Amino acid sequence: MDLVMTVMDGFEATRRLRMSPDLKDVVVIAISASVFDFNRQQSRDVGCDDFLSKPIREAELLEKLRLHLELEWVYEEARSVRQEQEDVNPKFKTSPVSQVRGRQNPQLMAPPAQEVAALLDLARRGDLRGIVKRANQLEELDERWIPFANHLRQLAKDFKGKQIREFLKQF
Amino acid sequence: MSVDTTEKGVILIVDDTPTNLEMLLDFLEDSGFKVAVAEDGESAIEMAEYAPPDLILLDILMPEMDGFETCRRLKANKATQDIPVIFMTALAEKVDKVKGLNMGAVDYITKPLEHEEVLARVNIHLHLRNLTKRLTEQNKHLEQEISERKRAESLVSGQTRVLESIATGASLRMYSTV
Repeated sequence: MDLVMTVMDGFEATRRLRMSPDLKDVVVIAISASVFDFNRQQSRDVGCDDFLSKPIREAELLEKLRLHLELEWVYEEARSVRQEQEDVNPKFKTSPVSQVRGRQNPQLMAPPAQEVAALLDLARRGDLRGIVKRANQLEELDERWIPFANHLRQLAKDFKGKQIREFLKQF
Repeated sequence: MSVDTTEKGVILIVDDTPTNLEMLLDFLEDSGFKVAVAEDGESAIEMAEYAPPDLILLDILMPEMDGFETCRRLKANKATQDIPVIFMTALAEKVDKVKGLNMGAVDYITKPLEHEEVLARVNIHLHLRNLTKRLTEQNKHLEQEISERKRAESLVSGQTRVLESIATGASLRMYSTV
Protein backbone atom coordinates (compact mmCIF):
# COMPACT_ATOMS: atom_id res chain seq x y z
CA MET A 1 0.00 0.00 0.00
CA ASP A 2 1.51 3.25 -1.13
CA LEU A 3 1.14 5.81 1.65
CA VAL A 4 1.17 8.92 -0.49
CA MET A 5 -1.77 8.93 -2.90
CA THR A 6 -4.25 11.54 -4.06
CA VAL A 7 -7.88 11.56 -2.92
CA MET A 8 -7.38 8.88 -0.24
CA ASP A 9 -3.91 8.22 1.16
CA GLY A 10 -2.56 4.89 2.34
CA PHE A 11 -3.09 5.64 6.02
CA GLU A 12 -6.79 6.27 5.53
CA ALA A 13 -7.18 3.31 3.16
CA THR A 14 -5.58 0.95 5.68
CA ARG A 15 -7.66 2.37 8.52
CA ARG A 16 -10.79 1.59 6.50
CA LEU A 17 -9.56 -1.88 5.55
CA ARG A 18 -9.12 -2.65 9.22
CA MET A 19 -12.70 -1.65 9.94
CA SER A 20 -14.08 -4.08 7.37
CA PRO A 21 -14.87 -7.50 8.86
CA ASP A 22 -13.79 -9.24 5.63
CA LEU A 23 -10.53 -7.40 5.20
CA LYS A 24 -9.30 -6.74 8.70
CA ASP A 25 -6.94 -9.71 8.60
CA VAL A 26 -5.43 -9.08 5.18
CA VAL A 27 -1.71 -8.41 5.36
CA VAL A 28 -0.93 -4.81 4.48
CA ILE A 29 2.63 -3.71 3.78
CA ALA A 30 3.08 0.04 3.61
CA ILE A 31 5.27 1.47 0.87
CA SER A 32 6.73 4.93 1.08
CA ALA A 33 9.60 6.94 -0.29
CA SER A 34 9.79 8.72 3.01
CA VAL A 35 12.89 8.10 5.07
CA PHE A 36 11.30 9.53 8.18
CA ASP A 37 10.57 7.15 11.00
CA PHE A 38 7.25 8.76 11.87
CA ASN A 39 5.76 7.45 8.60
CA ARG A 40 6.83 3.97 9.55
CA GLN A 41 5.36 4.40 13.03
CA GLN A 42 2.16 6.00 11.76
CA SER A 43 1.63 3.21 9.25
CA ARG A 44 1.88 0.70 12.09
CA ASP A 45 -0.55 2.74 14.14
CA VAL A 46 -3.24 2.54 11.44
CA GLY A 47 -2.76 -1.21 11.15
CA CYS A 48 -0.10 -1.92 8.55
CA ASP A 49 1.79 -5.16 9.21
CA ASP A 50 5.08 -3.98 7.81
CA PHE A 51 6.88 -1.24 5.94
CA LEU A 52 8.95 -1.09 2.75
CA SER A 53 10.83 1.99 1.61
CA LYS A 54 11.08 3.06 -2.00
CA PRO A 55 12.91 2.28 -4.20
CA ILE A 56 11.77 -1.25 -3.48
CA ARG A 57 14.48 -3.90 -3.53
CA GLU A 58 13.35 -7.26 -4.79
CA ALA A 59 15.10 -9.30 -2.13
CA GLU A 60 13.55 -7.24 0.64
CA LEU A 61 10.07 -7.49 -0.89
CA LEU A 62 10.32 -11.25 -1.35
CA GLU A 63 11.53 -11.65 2.20
CA LYS A 64 8.58 -9.68 3.59
CA LEU A 65 6.16 -11.71 1.48
CA ARG A 66 7.75 -14.91 2.75
CA LEU A 67 7.45 -13.71 6.30
CA HIS A 68 3.85 -12.53 6.21
CA LEU A 69 2.33 -15.05 3.86
CA GLU A 70 4.27 -17.93 5.36
CA LEU A 71 5.70 -18.86 1.99
CA GLU A 72 8.67 -20.88 1.02
CA TRP A 73 10.43 -19.71 -2.12
CA VAL A 74 11.48 -22.40 -4.54
CA TYR A 75 14.03 -21.06 -6.97
CA GLU A 76 14.54 -21.77 -10.70
CA GLU A 77 16.96 -24.69 -10.44
CA ALA A 78 14.71 -26.71 -8.25
CA ARG A 79 11.44 -26.43 -10.09
CA SER A 80 11.73 -28.34 -13.36
CA VAL A 81 9.08 -30.86 -12.45
CA ARG A 82 6.76 -28.39 -10.82
CA GLN A 83 6.87 -26.13 -13.83
CA GLU A 84 5.22 -28.77 -15.93
CA GLN A 85 2.59 -29.42 -13.35
CA GLU A 86 1.62 -25.86 -12.84
CA ASP A 87 0.34 -23.67 -15.58
CA VAL A 88 2.29 -20.66 -14.50
CA ASN A 89 1.60 -17.28 -16.03
CA PRO A 90 4.48 -16.31 -18.37
CA LYS A 91 4.76 -12.99 -16.59
CA PHE A 92 5.94 -14.71 -13.47
CA LYS A 93 8.34 -17.17 -15.13
CA THR A 94 11.44 -15.40 -13.92
CA SER A 95 10.17 -15.03 -10.39
CA PRO A 96 10.35 -17.75 -7.83
CA VAL A 97 7.32 -19.97 -7.65
CA SER A 98 5.58 -19.73 -4.36
CA GLN A 99 4.62 -22.76 -2.46
CA VAL A 100 1.76 -21.81 -0.32
CA ARG A 101 1.75 -22.84 3.27
CA GLY A 102 -1.23 -21.68 5.22
CA ARG A 103 -2.72 -18.66 3.55
CA GLN A 104 -4.18 -18.83 0.09
CA ASN A 105 -2.08 -16.95 -2.42
CA PRO A 106 -4.10 -16.16 -5.54
CA GLN A 107 -2.10 -16.50 -8.70
CA LEU A 108 -3.08 -14.48 -11.70
CA MET A 109 -3.84 -16.97 -14.42
CA ALA A 110 -4.89 -15.65 -17.80
CA PRO A 111 -7.47 -17.24 -20.12
CA PRO A 112 -6.45 -18.39 -23.65
CA ALA A 113 -4.97 -15.91 -26.13
CA GLN A 114 -8.17 -15.78 -28.15
CA GLU A 115 -10.11 -14.63 -25.11
CA VAL A 116 -7.48 -12.03 -24.20
CA ALA A 117 -7.58 -10.72 -27.78
CA ALA A 118 -11.35 -10.33 -27.58
CA LEU A 119 -10.98 -8.42 -24.31
CA LEU A 120 -8.31 -6.18 -25.81
CA ASP A 121 -10.62 -5.43 -28.72
CA LEU A 122 -13.33 -4.33 -26.26
CA ALA A 123 -10.76 -2.21 -24.40
CA ARG A 124 -9.65 -0.50 -27.61
CA ARG A 125 -13.29 0.32 -28.32
CA GLY A 126 -13.68 1.80 -24.85
CA ASP A 127 -16.40 -0.74 -24.12
CA LEU A 128 -15.92 -1.06 -20.36
CA ARG A 129 -19.37 -2.56 -19.82
CA GLY A 130 -18.48 -5.25 -22.33
CA ILE A 131 -15.30 -6.02 -20.40
CA VAL A 132 -17.16 -6.42 -17.11
CA LYS A 133 -19.69 -8.70 -18.79
CA ARG A 134 -16.96 -10.87 -20.27
CA ALA A 135 -15.04 -10.98 -17.01
CA ASN A 136 -18.19 -12.29 -15.32
CA GLN A 137 -18.54 -15.00 -17.95
CA LEU A 138 -14.88 -15.98 -17.64
CA GLU A 139 -14.99 -16.68 -13.94
CA GLU A 140 -18.07 -18.82 -14.43
CA LEU A 141 -16.18 -20.92 -16.96
CA ASP A 142 -13.13 -21.58 -14.84
CA GLU A 143 -12.55 -20.55 -11.25
CA ARG A 144 -8.81 -20.26 -11.83
CA TRP A 145 -9.59 -17.13 -13.87
CA ILE A 146 -11.29 -15.40 -10.97
CA PRO A 147 -8.26 -13.25 -9.96
CA PHE A 148 -7.81 -12.21 -13.59
CA ALA A 149 -11.50 -11.34 -13.88
CA ASN A 150 -11.47 -9.48 -10.56
CA HIS A 151 -8.53 -7.36 -11.63
CA LEU A 152 -10.19 -6.41 -14.92
CA ARG A 153 -13.50 -5.64 -13.24
CA GLN A 154 -11.86 -3.38 -10.69
CA LEU A 155 -9.97 -1.42 -13.37
CA ALA A 156 -13.15 -1.10 -15.45
CA LYS A 157 -15.08 0.14 -12.44
CA ASP A 158 -12.45 2.84 -11.88
CA PHE A 159 -12.48 3.76 -15.59
CA LYS A 160 -8.81 2.89 -15.99
CA GLY A 161 -9.02 2.09 -19.68
CA LYS A 162 -5.37 2.69 -20.37
CA GLN A 163 -4.31 0.36 -17.56
CA ILE A 164 -6.67 -2.32 -18.86
CA ARG A 165 -5.07 -2.13 -22.31
CA GLU A 166 -1.58 -2.29 -20.84
CA PHE A 167 -2.53 -5.16 -18.58
CA LEU A 168 -4.01 -7.19 -21.44
CA LYS A 169 -1.07 -6.56 -23.76
CA GLN A 170 1.21 -8.47 -21.37
CA PHE A 171 -0.38 -11.77 -22.22
CA MET B 1 -35.34 -6.87 -22.15
CA SER B 2 -32.44 -5.81 -24.29
CA VAL B 3 -32.45 -3.20 -27.00
CA ASP B 4 -29.94 -3.22 -29.82
CA THR B 5 -27.97 -0.20 -28.68
CA THR B 6 -25.74 0.05 -31.73
CA GLU B 7 -28.82 0.95 -33.75
CA LYS B 8 -29.30 4.25 -31.96
CA GLY B 9 -25.64 5.18 -32.23
CA VAL B 10 -22.30 4.88 -30.47
CA ILE B 11 -21.27 7.83 -28.30
CA LEU B 12 -17.70 8.23 -27.08
CA ILE B 13 -17.47 10.11 -23.76
CA VAL B 14 -14.15 11.66 -22.75
CA ASP B 15 -13.55 12.98 -19.24
CA ASP B 16 -10.77 12.65 -16.68
CA THR B 17 -13.18 12.47 -13.73
CA PRO B 18 -14.54 8.96 -13.02
CA THR B 19 -17.73 10.25 -11.37
CA ASN B 20 -18.60 12.29 -14.47
CA LEU B 21 -17.96 9.27 -16.69
CA GLU B 22 -20.09 7.05 -14.51
CA MET B 23 -23.01 9.46 -14.51
CA LEU B 24 -22.90 9.98 -18.28
CA LEU B 25 -22.41 6.29 -19.01
CA ASP B 26 -25.46 5.28 -16.96
CA PHE B 27 -27.63 8.00 -18.34
CA LEU B 28 -26.74 7.52 -22.01
CA GLU B 29 -27.05 3.75 -21.79
CA ASP B 30 -30.44 4.10 -20.17
CA SER B 31 -31.37 6.32 -23.09
CA GLY B 32 -30.52 3.51 -25.48
CA PHE B 33 -27.06 4.43 -26.76
CA LYS B 34 -23.98 2.28 -26.93
CA VAL B 35 -21.31 4.11 -24.94
CA ALA B 36 -17.52 4.05 -25.31
CA VAL B 37 -15.38 5.55 -22.54
CA ALA B 38 -11.99 7.28 -22.62
CA GLU B 39 -10.30 8.82 -19.59
CA ASP B 40 -7.94 11.09 -21.51
CA GLY B 41 -7.52 12.80 -24.87
CA GLU B 42 -4.92 10.45 -26.23
CA SER B 43 -7.02 7.36 -25.53
CA ALA B 44 -9.99 9.10 -27.13
CA ILE B 45 -8.06 9.67 -30.37
CA GLU B 46 -6.87 6.05 -30.46
CA MET B 47 -10.41 4.81 -29.88
CA ALA B 48 -11.94 7.10 -32.50
CA GLU B 49 -9.47 5.73 -35.04
CA TYR B 50 -9.91 2.10 -34.02
CA ALA B 51 -13.70 2.13 -33.99
CA PRO B 52 -15.17 5.48 -35.07
CA PRO B 53 -18.16 6.47 -32.88
CA ASP B 54 -21.16 8.42 -34.18
CA LEU B 55 -20.57 11.32 -31.80
CA ILE B 56 -18.04 12.46 -29.18
CA LEU B 57 -18.77 14.23 -25.88
CA LEU B 58 -15.48 15.86 -24.94
CA ASP B 59 -14.48 17.50 -21.65
CA ILE B 60 -12.37 20.61 -22.15
CA LEU B 61 -10.38 20.83 -18.94
CA MET B 62 -8.21 17.73 -18.77
CA PRO B 63 -4.59 17.28 -17.68
CA GLU B 64 -1.93 16.58 -20.33
CA MET B 65 -3.99 16.89 -23.51
CA ASP B 66 -6.98 19.19 -23.08
CA GLY B 67 -10.25 19.04 -25.03
CA PHE B 68 -9.24 21.73 -27.51
CA GLU B 69 -6.06 19.93 -28.51
CA THR B 70 -7.88 16.60 -28.67
CA CYS B 71 -10.51 18.14 -30.95
CA ARG B 72 -7.85 19.74 -33.16
CA ARG B 73 -6.17 16.36 -33.68
CA LEU B 74 -9.46 14.60 -34.37
CA LYS B 75 -10.30 17.20 -37.01
CA ALA B 76 -6.84 16.98 -38.59
CA ASN B 77 -7.20 13.25 -39.11
CA LYS B 78 -9.13 12.11 -42.17
CA ALA B 79 -10.41 9.01 -40.40
CA THR B 80 -12.00 10.98 -37.56
CA GLN B 81 -12.68 14.49 -38.90
CA ASP B 82 -16.36 13.91 -39.73
CA ILE B 83 -17.35 12.73 -36.26
CA PRO B 84 -19.37 15.47 -34.51
CA VAL B 85 -17.74 16.74 -31.31
CA ILE B 86 -19.71 18.35 -28.48
CA PHE B 87 -17.65 20.08 -25.79
CA MET B 88 -18.50 19.77 -22.12
CA THR B 89 -17.53 22.58 -19.79
CA ALA B 90 -18.34 23.62 -16.23
CA LEU B 91 -20.45 26.74 -15.97
CA ALA B 92 -17.80 28.39 -13.82
CA GLU B 93 -15.01 27.70 -16.29
CA LYS B 94 -14.29 30.67 -18.46
CA VAL B 95 -13.57 29.04 -21.78
CA ASP B 96 -13.52 30.52 -25.22
CA LYS B 97 -16.59 28.98 -26.85
CA VAL B 98 -15.86 30.57 -30.21
CA LYS B 99 -12.41 28.99 -30.20
CA GLY B 100 -13.96 25.58 -29.82
CA LEU B 101 -16.56 26.11 -32.51
CA ASN B 102 -13.92 27.38 -34.92
CA MET B 103 -12.02 24.18 -34.30
CA GLY B 104 -14.87 22.18 -35.70
CA ALA B 105 -16.91 21.33 -32.62
CA VAL B 106 -20.64 21.41 -33.31
CA ASP B 107 -21.93 22.37 -29.87
CA TYR B 108 -21.33 23.03 -26.17
CA ILE B 109 -23.04 21.69 -23.09
CA THR B 110 -22.41 22.98 -19.58
CA LYS B 111 -21.85 21.03 -16.39
CA PRO B 112 -23.65 20.16 -14.20
CA LEU B 113 -25.29 18.38 -17.12
CA GLU B 114 -29.03 18.63 -17.59
CA HIS B 115 -30.01 15.19 -18.82
CA GLU B 116 -32.84 16.38 -21.02
CA GLU B 117 -30.62 19.00 -22.61
CA VAL B 118 -27.81 16.54 -23.29
CA LEU B 119 -30.26 14.14 -24.86
CA ALA B 120 -31.83 16.84 -27.03
CA ARG B 121 -28.50 18.13 -28.31
CA VAL B 122 -27.07 14.66 -28.88
CA ASN B 123 -30.15 13.64 -30.83
CA ILE B 124 -30.07 16.78 -32.99
CA HIS B 125 -26.45 16.25 -33.96
CA LEU B 126 -26.85 12.55 -34.59
CA HIS B 127 -29.79 13.39 -36.83
CA LEU B 128 -27.76 16.03 -38.70
CA ARG B 129 -24.87 13.65 -39.01
CA ASN B 130 -27.10 10.94 -40.45
CA LEU B 131 -28.62 13.37 -42.96
CA THR B 132 -25.17 14.54 -44.04
CA LYS B 133 -24.01 10.96 -44.36
CA ARG B 134 -27.01 10.07 -46.50
CA LEU B 135 -26.52 13.14 -48.66
CA THR B 136 -22.87 12.31 -49.24
CA GLU B 137 -23.80 8.77 -50.19
CA GLN B 138 -26.50 9.94 -52.56
CA ASN B 139 -24.10 12.41 -54.13
CA LYS B 140 -21.58 9.68 -54.67
CA HIS B 141 -24.28 7.50 -56.18
CA LEU B 142 -25.41 10.29 -58.51
CA GLU B 143 -21.89 11.07 -59.61
CA GLN B 144 -21.38 7.44 -60.41
CA GLU B 145 -24.56 7.36 -62.43
CA ILE B 146 -23.54 10.43 -64.39
CA SER B 147 -20.12 9.06 -65.23
CA GLU B 148 -21.68 5.77 -66.33
CA ARG B 149 -24.14 7.59 -68.55
CA LYS B 150 -21.32 9.64 -70.08
CA ARG B 151 -19.39 6.52 -70.86
CA ALA B 152 -22.43 4.94 -72.46
CA GLU B 153 -23.03 8.05 -74.51
CA SER B 154 -19.50 8.21 -75.83
CA LEU B 155 -19.72 4.52 -76.68
CA VAL B 156 -22.96 5.09 -78.61
CA SER B 157 -21.60 8.12 -80.49
CA GLY B 158 -18.46 6.15 -81.39
CA GLN B 159 -20.53 3.32 -82.77
CA THR B 160 -22.74 5.76 -84.66
CA ARG B 161 -19.62 7.15 -86.38
CA VAL B 162 -18.51 3.67 -87.35
CA LEU B 163 -21.95 2.84 -88.72
CA GLU B 164 -22.06 6.10 -90.67
CA SER B 165 -18.69 5.46 -92.25
CA ILE B 166 -19.74 1.92 -93.19
CA ALA B 167 -22.94 3.28 -94.67
CA THR B 168 -21.06 5.91 -96.71
CA GLY B 169 -18.60 3.29 -97.95
CA ALA B 170 -21.41 0.97 -98.96
CA SER B 171 -23.28 3.64 -100.87
CA LEU B 172 -20.07 4.65 -102.70
CA ARG B 173 -19.51 1.04 -103.74
CA MET B 174 -23.12 0.85 -104.91
CA TYR B 175 -22.56 3.90 -107.13
CA SER B 176 -19.44 2.41 -108.67
CA THR B 177 -21.10 -0.92 -109.51
CA VAL B 178 -24.11 0.77 -111.05
